[in-house]
Amino acid sequence: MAEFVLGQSVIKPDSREKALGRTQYGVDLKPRDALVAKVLRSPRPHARIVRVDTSRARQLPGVLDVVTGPDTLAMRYGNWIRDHTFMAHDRVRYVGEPVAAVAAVDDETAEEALELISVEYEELPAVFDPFEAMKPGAPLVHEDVANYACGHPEAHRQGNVLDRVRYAKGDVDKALAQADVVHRQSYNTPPVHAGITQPHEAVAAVDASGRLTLWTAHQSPFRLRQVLSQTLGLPMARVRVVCTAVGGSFGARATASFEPICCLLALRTRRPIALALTREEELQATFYREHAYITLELGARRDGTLLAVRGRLVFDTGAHHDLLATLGNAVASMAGPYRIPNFDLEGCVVYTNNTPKGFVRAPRIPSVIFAVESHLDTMAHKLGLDPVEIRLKNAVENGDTFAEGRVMQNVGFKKALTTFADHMKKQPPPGPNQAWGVAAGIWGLFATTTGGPPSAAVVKLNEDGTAVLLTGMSEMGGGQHAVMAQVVAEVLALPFEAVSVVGGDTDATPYEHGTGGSNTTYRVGTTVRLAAEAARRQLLQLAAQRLKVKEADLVLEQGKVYAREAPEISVPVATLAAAAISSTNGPIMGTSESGREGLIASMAPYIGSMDAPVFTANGALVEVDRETGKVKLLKYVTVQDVGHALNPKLVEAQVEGGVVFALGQALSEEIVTDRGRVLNANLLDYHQPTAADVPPIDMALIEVPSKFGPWGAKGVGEPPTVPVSAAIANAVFRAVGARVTELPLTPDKVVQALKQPQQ
Amino acid sequence: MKQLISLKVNGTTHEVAVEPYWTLLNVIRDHLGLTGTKRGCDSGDCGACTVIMNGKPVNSCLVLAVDARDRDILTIEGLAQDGKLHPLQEAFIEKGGIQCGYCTPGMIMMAKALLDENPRPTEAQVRQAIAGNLCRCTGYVKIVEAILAASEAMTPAKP
Repeated sequence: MAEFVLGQSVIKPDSREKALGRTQYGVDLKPRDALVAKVLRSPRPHARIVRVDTSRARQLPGVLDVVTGPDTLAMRYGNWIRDHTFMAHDRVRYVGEPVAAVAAVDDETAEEALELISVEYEELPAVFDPFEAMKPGAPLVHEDVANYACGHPEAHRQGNVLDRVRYAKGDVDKALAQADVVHRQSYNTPPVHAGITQPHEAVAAVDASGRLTLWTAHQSPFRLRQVLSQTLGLPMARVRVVCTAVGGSFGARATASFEPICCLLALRTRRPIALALTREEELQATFYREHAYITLELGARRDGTLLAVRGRLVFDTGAHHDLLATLGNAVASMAGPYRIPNFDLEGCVVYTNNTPKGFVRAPRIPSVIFAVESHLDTMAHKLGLDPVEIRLKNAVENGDTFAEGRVMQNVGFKKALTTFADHMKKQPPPGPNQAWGVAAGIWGLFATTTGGPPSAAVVKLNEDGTAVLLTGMSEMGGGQHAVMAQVVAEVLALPFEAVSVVGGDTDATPYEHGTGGSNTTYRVGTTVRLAAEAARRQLLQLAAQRLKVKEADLVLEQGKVYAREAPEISVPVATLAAAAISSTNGPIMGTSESGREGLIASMAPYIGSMDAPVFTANGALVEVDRETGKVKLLKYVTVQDVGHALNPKLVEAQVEGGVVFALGQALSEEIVTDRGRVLNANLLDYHQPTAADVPPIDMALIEVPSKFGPWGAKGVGEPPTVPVSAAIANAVFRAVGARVTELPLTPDKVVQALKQPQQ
Repeated sequence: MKQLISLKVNGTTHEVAVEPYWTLLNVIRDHLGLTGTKRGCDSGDCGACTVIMNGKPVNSCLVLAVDARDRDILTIEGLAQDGKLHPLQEAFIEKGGIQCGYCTPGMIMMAKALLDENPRPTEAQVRQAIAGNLCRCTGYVKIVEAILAASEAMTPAKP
């Protein structure tokens, strides 16, 4: 079937309202009679709560309610391990942990009420360094972690370690002994924030029948509803989550944190509650990217053949952990996208009394790949090999196994590298103190041909021939809904404008795991395609009855169904849709489940394989000031395999946005803490890339189609971020010989590295 | 104690009783109901709340409402005229300069202030002008393209 809506850069319909300032986000929706909620947070990193006195706050005129830990069910929750409650009970474990919350008539009253709450703490020994936390006798952040419910009961949990994974193959010691060159180095990447432009905000209200509705920007309304149901003790039928417009997400909205507080106050006061976090709360007390410590030992032959790698990885997850199972992916990524016959890779996740950690765009992988690709660059330099050549020599191909066991299919790595090399040939030679740095990346977390996390969709054909898609997936701003509408339009041969999308509403749409892992188009897109195809079958069945032509001989095109051999025998889609509502089978309504079995069966030979690994090859041109250490980024080249671009302009936008997102971690972003307190909890001292920091970006997209993704699509949102830090670090190394092993690449670190003897 | 002030927003004069410590952002959003102007940081670091006051772009979170008394204020809601979008709005939509859209109102207002003063800015001038407006989605590429395209549409280069 020739594509007619797919492959077109249709403009996403939400843009117009956004340009007019009409789109409503979070607290934009608060009704006039809403109360304002604010949260009192712990100033201590680890303490026992001896006593909380809220009496003075309660007496303040304009205060409607005050809640503390004992007012809640103390039900622990979490995406991977149930290790946190939404409000502290007898103990606080990090600076910023909620201790109490108030509902008042306005901001000032709520703020004053917080000041009137007195909390007596008994300081407990705290630990802020994950290596200290692993030592015997270290203070325990959670005393009974082994008994916490965990989605992965086999997870290795002991002391402050909440998970440990090891993959090994061959004989690493022997291979390293036989290598011509062995390079060992440690790297570390401090925590960074997702940097969502709209802070976390929500409005909760209880209707006359006692049902609770929460309006908030969220990547997974259904998983949020589950947390609300568990922590508030409400059946799911009495909780509705509606996703509002989303002011940036990048993983920061895949976790439940402040939402139960908002809901609890609404349930208690029976008034609508608006809760909006401040920027300081965002940077001090929401879940963001972990501090990662990585040590690599790599052995190679003189010709550049990689023989063995030993990798050790420690993630400081802070006081709580809210990722899904991504440790294996991170540990396996220490081998990079390379064939290395001997490996011994181990990683663990450790609790400390730092701020809790969770998802940020491409969870964990940019940190790991910074180490891997910096390391390989040094190895290439030692061997006197071209950086592209050493990567091509060791690049994975179809049928190779990722270190955690999945067999990779539809691998586009060599194609990405050769496309990149062609682009680099066009670049003029760098000037003095300038150089190109090269890095590659791999991303394949959820891209497994089993259907992945659960997803369902419904496509309804209206009596006038237009269609509505129901999906639990929220529009993040990347055009996710627009692409889904394109999928439906393509299958039903409708114009793009004829398809509307209802999304992210737990009452109005079928179950959806959520938006994330770069698998919205890949996974949800396939689900939506199944639903649309089911509607198409119903449509053709009805047409066959009316036209007395076999289904196989019918063509659906341009708003009508006709007989292939006799086009004059035809019926408009609208006529069929209208007739369907009073037919025996009822209205045309396709559900994704009707075609899933067949799809999974067709995927049988590939089950368990990594169907849509995404490879990238990047280059950064920098100029380094040897005196000050300042790194100036002059140009960036990015090549990415996208499988098949269903909307090329939106794909480009993801790649450009992803590269610039990652420039922050590379060059300027770092959460700086002292005993768990964030010292730069504002956007002046926590510097995100601005328009003036961004160089020209030269992009090439290649297409090596996946089997499971719709029309071969692969995920695009996270992969662009993966190699960026390494590409820039490698450019700095090539320009002035300074190997910086800790992010971000600030001038002080460059100057320090310049003083080190060249490796 | 509250003071009664008059605020001229998007051509309409409003009488509002404000506390002396209320910001222009709060009054625009919570009292006039114009939620198109966004709150991002409350400290002037992100630019999401940018509006135009007497022809100059300001972070409305840093302006006290009483200091905006009798000034001429333009917010994103006042940019389209008689249902016709401003060329900047058209260009942001066409070029794909809008993803999540949360920075968009502030970004467009900042761009308008730039083009009002400098109708044909260079790319570097555009980047400098919007350097106080954070966007986390687009990498600024398509935003810069949109502002340059709007500039071209509004003031075509002389042949």
